[in-house]
Amino acid sequence: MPKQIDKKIWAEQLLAAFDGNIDAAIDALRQAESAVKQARKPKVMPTGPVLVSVENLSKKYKVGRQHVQALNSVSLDIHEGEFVAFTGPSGSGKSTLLQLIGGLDKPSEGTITVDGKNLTKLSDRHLSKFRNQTIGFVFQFFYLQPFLRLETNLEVPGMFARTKRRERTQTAAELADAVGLKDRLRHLPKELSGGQMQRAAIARALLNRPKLILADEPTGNLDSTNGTAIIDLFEQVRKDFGTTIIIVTHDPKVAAHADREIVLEDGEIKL
Amino acid sequence: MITIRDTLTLSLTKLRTRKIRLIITVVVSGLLFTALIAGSLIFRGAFASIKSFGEEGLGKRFVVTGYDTSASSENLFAKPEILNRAREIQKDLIARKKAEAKKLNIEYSEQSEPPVINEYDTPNGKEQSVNGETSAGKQAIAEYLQKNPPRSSEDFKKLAEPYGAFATYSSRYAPYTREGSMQVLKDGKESYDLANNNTKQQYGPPRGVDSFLGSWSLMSADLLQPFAIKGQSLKSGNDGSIPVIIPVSAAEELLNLKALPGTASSADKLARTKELRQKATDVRFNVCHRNAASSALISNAISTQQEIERNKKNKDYVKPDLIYGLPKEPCTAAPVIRDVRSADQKKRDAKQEQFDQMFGQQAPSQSAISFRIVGLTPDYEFQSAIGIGQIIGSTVGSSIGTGWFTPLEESVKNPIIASYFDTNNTIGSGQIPTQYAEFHTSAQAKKFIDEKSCQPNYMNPEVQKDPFKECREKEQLYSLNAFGSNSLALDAAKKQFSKFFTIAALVVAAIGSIIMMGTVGRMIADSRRETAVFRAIGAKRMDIAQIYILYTFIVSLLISGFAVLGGVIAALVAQDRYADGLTVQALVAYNAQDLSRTFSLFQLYVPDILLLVGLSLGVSLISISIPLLRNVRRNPIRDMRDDT
Ligand SMILES: Nc1ncnc2c1ncn2[C@@H]1O[C@H](COP(=O)(O)OP(=O)(O)OP(=O)(O)O)[C@@H](O)[C@H]1O
Ligand SMILES: [Mg+2]
Repeated sequence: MPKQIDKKIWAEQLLAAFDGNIDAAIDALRQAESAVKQARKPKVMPTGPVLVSVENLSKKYKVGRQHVQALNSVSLDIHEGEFVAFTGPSGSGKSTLLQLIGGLDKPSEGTITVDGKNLTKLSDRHLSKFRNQTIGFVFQFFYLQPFLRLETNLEVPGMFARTKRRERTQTAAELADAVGLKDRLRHLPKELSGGQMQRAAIARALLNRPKLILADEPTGNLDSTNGTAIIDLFEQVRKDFGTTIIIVTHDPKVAAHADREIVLEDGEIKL
Repeated sequence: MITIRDTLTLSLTKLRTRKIRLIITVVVSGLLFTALIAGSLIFRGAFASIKSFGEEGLGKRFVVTGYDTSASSENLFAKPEILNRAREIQKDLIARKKAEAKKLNIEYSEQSEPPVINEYDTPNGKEQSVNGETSAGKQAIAEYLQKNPPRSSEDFKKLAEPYGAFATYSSRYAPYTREGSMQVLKDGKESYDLANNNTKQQYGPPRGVDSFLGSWSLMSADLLQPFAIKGQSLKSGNDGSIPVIIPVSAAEELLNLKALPGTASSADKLARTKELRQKATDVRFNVCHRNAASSALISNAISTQQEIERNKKNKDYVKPDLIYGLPKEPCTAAPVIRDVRSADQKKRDAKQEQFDQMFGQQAPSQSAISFRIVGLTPDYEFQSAIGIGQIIGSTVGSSIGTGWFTPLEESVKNPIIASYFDTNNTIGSGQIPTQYAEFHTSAQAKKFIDEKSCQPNYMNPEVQKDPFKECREKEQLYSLNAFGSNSLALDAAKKQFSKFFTIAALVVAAIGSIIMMGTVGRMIADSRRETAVFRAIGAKRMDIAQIYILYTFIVSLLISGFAVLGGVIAALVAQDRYADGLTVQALVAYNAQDLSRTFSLFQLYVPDILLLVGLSLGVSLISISIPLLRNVRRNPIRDMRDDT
């Protein structure tokens, strides 16, 4: 079936573009190639319920007397089980959007609803609980506690959740196994490689079985091999746990893995 | 709320950063608390020991001393009234002497009189003072005291009786100004080496028999009795010997025992104490008193001898007609060893003598007073460095103190001693007798002190001219203190210590808080990003606060642990170094019959320790509150961006 679609597109593109000029033909071929790639994506049009709903979201930062409009009236929906990539130039508001969705900050205007909760209305206590239970954060620089062994590092979200020790130790061990760090449990972060640390950080983010993983440039600090492995891991996670994943990235290859790429520019979604 | 165990896991990671800073904090704050703990252990130990020793000596009696501070601060010698009267008497005396000299046909010059008023420069200009050694000066002071009698034992009794005093006593120190001489006869021999005696260089107060005149007091026998060696009576013996309690060094000298070196072991010192108590008891010795004329003859004999010696080769030298020699027997008159005066000269000398005696000069006289050793006092320990040993030593010594003590009642039966300690003589020279009142209970004694003790006001500039005004208005005529180391004195010392301890503890806590705040503040600031990450993965503000509170608490535990360890070690070192020495000192000072008593410098006093523990917790709470409040309000994402 995909093959047929491919052929049809190819043919249409070629016929429409070709008028005897070889350069134009090559150009047309290129466009066709990209069109095919686009079409090849499993455009599983989101069918599950909406997990994240952002409406008219604006965020202004005040730096001294200057106002920075980091986000300007952004609206979007993300469905359960989606893998979404936020891309766009530096300073376009990607991280800001991610952090607002994660309940780390309050918007200047607009509403964010995640898993049925209106984040703008939650108290600090409830926001903390929300981050702990519903969100799993993954950072560019991993941010593991340098003096805790890997097993304990993985358990930290469980400590804040007051999960029973035995239960969380077991979950941590399982997750370590899942990310391929089973034999590194008793190591300190400094004894791990960058890729291992990021895998550990993902395991940590998964400890409380969150519905949504928010990752800000998770591959930004890794070489391409490790980067690919991390993306594969996210895929795996989505497959195994049905987790919704939003990542911020500059890497087109990474973005290409996502179901949907949302491009930001100057705080607005580029259509 | 996260569990304590998890909080601990996260707090412990904090101990692993900034280790040097943490160690410095723990050591510096720990040392401050160490000093306090050591102080508490040592002093509480000392107090407990003093209490135990206090069961002997005066310990179970409640005696209050009264000292007339207003009288002792008064300088009789500079009183215009006395100065004028002395001038008058002098003028009159000179007139009478002139007339008498004319009648007897002898030479007399006003110039030969010593000045009755001395004038000297002070920063405030010239000041005058009566010469208390002249007969006119003496008479003027005596007349003044006749008109303005000093407060007597009776006055003190009247003041103390309403508070329940059942007995009063008194004591007197030897006067500063003396006429003639008093000399302890060592091995029964008199020393004429006056020149040598006067120039003997000493560091610190005199020891041995030399300390006699400077530290001789008369004290009521009832007060003195506890300090007599067991079985010794404070009544004069059949042979008329006067009982005396003398310093250890004097007893050693009289018994020809070599003083123990300062480095002697405590066991040796204890053995010496035992030996002295045995050997010195009942030992008699004489003190030779020579009046001014008798002493003058001795000095005359010495100087003439020196003069002859110097002129041995001088053919023109003519020896004086009348020469006195040194006595063959101790404490006898200086004999005439050459008298080649003409009949005429002898007649003139006789007339001069008649003249002198007419105007109060006494004939030479000397006599020996017999004393009998009945007790020992510790020596004043002269130490150049101020240390724990000395501070505590002075507490121990406060029982009757050091010095020579004879029972007042027996002493004044001896006319020589009576005149020597004559109140005109002693008060004239500023030595006011000390009064004592004894009570049945410490509460009575305390009430008496609280209500009737004078605290002269030297601070208020208005009353500076008369600091005793308020005291007089409240009928507070004496400065009152607990005497001896009875429970009252001990309570006062304890209270004083507790006060000092509390203040010191608060100061230490304040310093500790500042140091801790710096360290904890630094730690929290260092951990901002981590805090932000923890917040991102679900920590509540309380969870974060909990981690830092526990961290601070652990640090304060480390400090307390360090302090307890250090304090215990310091106290044990002090115990090791000073306790044995203090034991010996206390055995003598309290005249303890039970020689197995020991002095300890180690006692755990729970309230002190609780205060310190409370303070160290307080310190940690104070030092964490401000940095924590500042931190917890921060926006986590800002901190996450800080160094990315
Ligand atoms: N805490 C803040 N205070 C002030 N300005 C901020 C703050 N956070 C973000 N901004 C500004 O908001 C804008 C959007 O920033 P944001 O971090 O979201 O960009 P980004 O798309 O993630 O960029 P990059 O790809 O470089 O990470 C920028 O202009 C930035 O300077
Ligand atoms: Mg960013």
